[in-house]
Amino acid sequence: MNEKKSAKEEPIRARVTREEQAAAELGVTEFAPGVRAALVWFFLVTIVAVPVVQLVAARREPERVGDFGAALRGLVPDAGAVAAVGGLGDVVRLLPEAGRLKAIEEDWERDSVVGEAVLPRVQRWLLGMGQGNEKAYAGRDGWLFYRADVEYVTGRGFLEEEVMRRRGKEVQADPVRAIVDFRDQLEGRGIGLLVVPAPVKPTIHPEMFAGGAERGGEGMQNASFGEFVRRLGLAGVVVYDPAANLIKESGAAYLKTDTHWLPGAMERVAAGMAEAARAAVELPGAEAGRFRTVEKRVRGTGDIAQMLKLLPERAYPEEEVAIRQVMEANELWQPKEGAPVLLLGDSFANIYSLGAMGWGESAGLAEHLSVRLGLPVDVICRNDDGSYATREMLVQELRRGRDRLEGKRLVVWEFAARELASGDWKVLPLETGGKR
Amino acid sequence: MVFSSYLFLFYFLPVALAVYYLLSRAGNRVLNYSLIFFGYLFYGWANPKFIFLMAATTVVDWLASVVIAHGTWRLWEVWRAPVVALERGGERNRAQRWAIVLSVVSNLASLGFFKYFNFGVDSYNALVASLGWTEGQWDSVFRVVLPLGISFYTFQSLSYTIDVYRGDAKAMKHFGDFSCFVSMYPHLVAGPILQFSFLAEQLEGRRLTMDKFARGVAMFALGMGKKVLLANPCGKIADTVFEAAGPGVVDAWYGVTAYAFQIYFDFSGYSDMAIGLGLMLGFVFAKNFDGPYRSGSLTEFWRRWHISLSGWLRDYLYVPLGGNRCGEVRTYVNLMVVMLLGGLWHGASANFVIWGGIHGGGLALERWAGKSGWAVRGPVVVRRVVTFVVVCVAWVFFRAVDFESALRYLGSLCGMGREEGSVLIGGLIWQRYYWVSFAVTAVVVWGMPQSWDLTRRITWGKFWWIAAVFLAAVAMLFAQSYNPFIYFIF
Repeated sequence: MNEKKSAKEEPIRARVTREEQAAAELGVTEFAPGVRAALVWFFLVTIVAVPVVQLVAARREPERVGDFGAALRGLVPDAGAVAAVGGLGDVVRLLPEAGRLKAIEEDWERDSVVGEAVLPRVQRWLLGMGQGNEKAYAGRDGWLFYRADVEYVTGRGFLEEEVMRRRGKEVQADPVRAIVDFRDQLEGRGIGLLVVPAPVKPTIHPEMFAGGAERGGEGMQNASFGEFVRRLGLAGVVVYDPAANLIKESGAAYLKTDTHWLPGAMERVAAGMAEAARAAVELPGAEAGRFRTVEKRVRGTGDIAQMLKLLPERAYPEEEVAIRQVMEANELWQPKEGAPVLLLGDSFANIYSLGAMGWGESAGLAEHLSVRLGLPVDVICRNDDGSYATREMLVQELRRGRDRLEGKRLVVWEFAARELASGDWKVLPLETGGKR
Repeated sequence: MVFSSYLFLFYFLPVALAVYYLLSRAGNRVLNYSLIFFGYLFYGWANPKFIFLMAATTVVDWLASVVIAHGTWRLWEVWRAPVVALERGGERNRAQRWAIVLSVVSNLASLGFFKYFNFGVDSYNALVASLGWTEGQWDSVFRVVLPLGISFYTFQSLSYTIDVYRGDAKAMKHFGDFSCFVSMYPHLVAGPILQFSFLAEQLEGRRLTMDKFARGVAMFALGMGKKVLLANPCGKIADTVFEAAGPGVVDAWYGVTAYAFQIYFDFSGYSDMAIGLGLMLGFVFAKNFDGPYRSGSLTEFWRRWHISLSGWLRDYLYVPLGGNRCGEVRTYVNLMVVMLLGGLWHGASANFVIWGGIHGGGLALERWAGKSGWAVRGPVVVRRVVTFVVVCVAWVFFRAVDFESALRYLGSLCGMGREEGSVLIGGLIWQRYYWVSFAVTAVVVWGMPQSWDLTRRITWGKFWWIAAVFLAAVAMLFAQSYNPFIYFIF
């Protein structure tokens, strides 16, 4: 009986037993001859070699390799600030911000000479295992996919209440609210709105991502996309979804190693947009013969391939595509501020238009929309953040007194569909001279 | 700072070790001061402002312990008096009782505020909204940021004052030694939760040996391999499936099993690294994991999983509640209370409470079934499979972001998923790298010895394995920015 009671009330003994076990098992280790020293030296050499190599590289190539000590020295408060400390509050203020420390840590890691040498080789091996990296996924037959695109399709519905709540109070997660508000404001000025969510690559080419997936098969859109279109329809917002147009044509619609569409697919979308635009509002008649196109071949490296950071000799091969540059009076096409149509677009509009993207110029979505409408088009474009960036640019111009909506009949708002799930759908007032 | 990070591995650790060993002839107290300095640097790197909170906790608990040891608040009168352990079970005076109350309340208050304030506000708002009184909601702009590792160091600090009060340990006369116990970087932010009586002697007198350092290197290297090479790819599988709109039944089981592997190797890898670092610094920490997925019952699982937490809960909660000494029903209630609070310790959410409830209910059920129950009688393979499945189902609540998501996931496990985009999900999670990593992880879970046992005798063959694992983990570190430790958020 006593024994039983003692066993029940004996937490201390159990603890000591664990301590004894640890001391007995960890404190005494059996090593084969030479292994103990080998382990110690191997470890120390490995962890010391990386900063030493970095230091040597910084000395040899100061212009290429940053001085990693400079950032640390920058954290030390100056003598004056230290002397002025009068209380705990002053001490707290002297401490660096967490974000600054995080940035320094990221800079060090990014600037690592050893990392620079190791990363492409590891990445190549991972690709051989069918794996990309944090941003890129490897598909079939050399196709690459942007992670955010895939997650948009496979993820929870972006209109689900809990999904929106999880995104936090600082983000306006409801695209319907922002779009309807924007439409209302435009309507107040007698301007129509056409919304064009550019389909992400996995929606159009699931078959190149996963074996067994069919082009045009079910479930290749985010679970909330249908509801999104329905709600906009109920609110009277005109939506042109290019997905069906792109799926029905056989053959590739997107670049193999890039997030964006091929020139031909983009032109088909431009044609669809033009048709939807004319159905949505009354536009001036097409000016026949105003524009002509010139074919040109361009080569480029896909943006997803670049995300993989492979060694140049092992990188994905460049892709070659035929673009059709748009000419107006023997000059490359230019946007016109006085045009009846304003295109707000992201990289889906910029590709083949903005030379800096590496896929040629004057052959993008705006240019071909212009051709299909037979009208000039005004453009505000910025890669990324299609949920708010272009509207914000428009608002800024209005505030500066440059009324880009003057004389407009229609605003076409193109954005990547993944923005519906990840973008900040700020409600922005279109104020001119301080008035909405 | 994270152990498996570029900054820690290649800058912090070499400098901290160099300083430590350069000071090794100056005695343990000086070494403790160097550990305090690097501990605060390590901790403050995530958010420098929180070092004040840790310092305040340390000061309050140390002062409380000295008051308890001397039985008076008039410390200036007993400053030079020797400190002795109190008699176990002996009478405590008013000052001692108030000092322990101060320590317990201050620790729990700071833990409660930082960990549960947001949860409290959200729960209150949800409650008043459900009653239709939306005007009564508190739209608080003020959100509390959780200090890193607060759950771990408050529990450790508490174990110190409670041990001193109970007479299980002697109070630390030197503040520096106690501060070192709290802020020692190997175990600071994610444990193992070291009970003070376990470490007291080592703080005052420990030996640095080549044997310990080499064993520490082996433990650290294997721990890092577990984290970077096994836990991270399994984590990617789990993240993809748990975030999916409606995974199919096979993908759902694959996802939850991957999560079970992830959390085990993430945390046991961290514990191995902590134990390894401790050894490099001359400390011996106790085992924190012991092959938990080989358990044939939940009771056995909790003897093998996060042993330092279950030990803490047993010694400072279950036993004081009466343990198994107050009859059968009370024992079940105690088990349930301990596991519910254990769940809440992990995080402020109903899901963690449910997770604790599943385990508490399971433990009570096994105890009720006794020696004639399935948990003892059935074939060992069946018992292990059943236990693993129950643990996995409980992990669903642990991993899912909210209750509704957990229910949805359980639906997918039962084949009721919407399977939207499931072909794409399959394309993601069945990539060769992932399923090979998953298969290797399964082999390590059920077919390989623990790092602790593997490194008891290190041959040249094992050396090459350890070196290869470490180098592969370092190489992979450069290619992965995905490197979170799950237990950092607790």
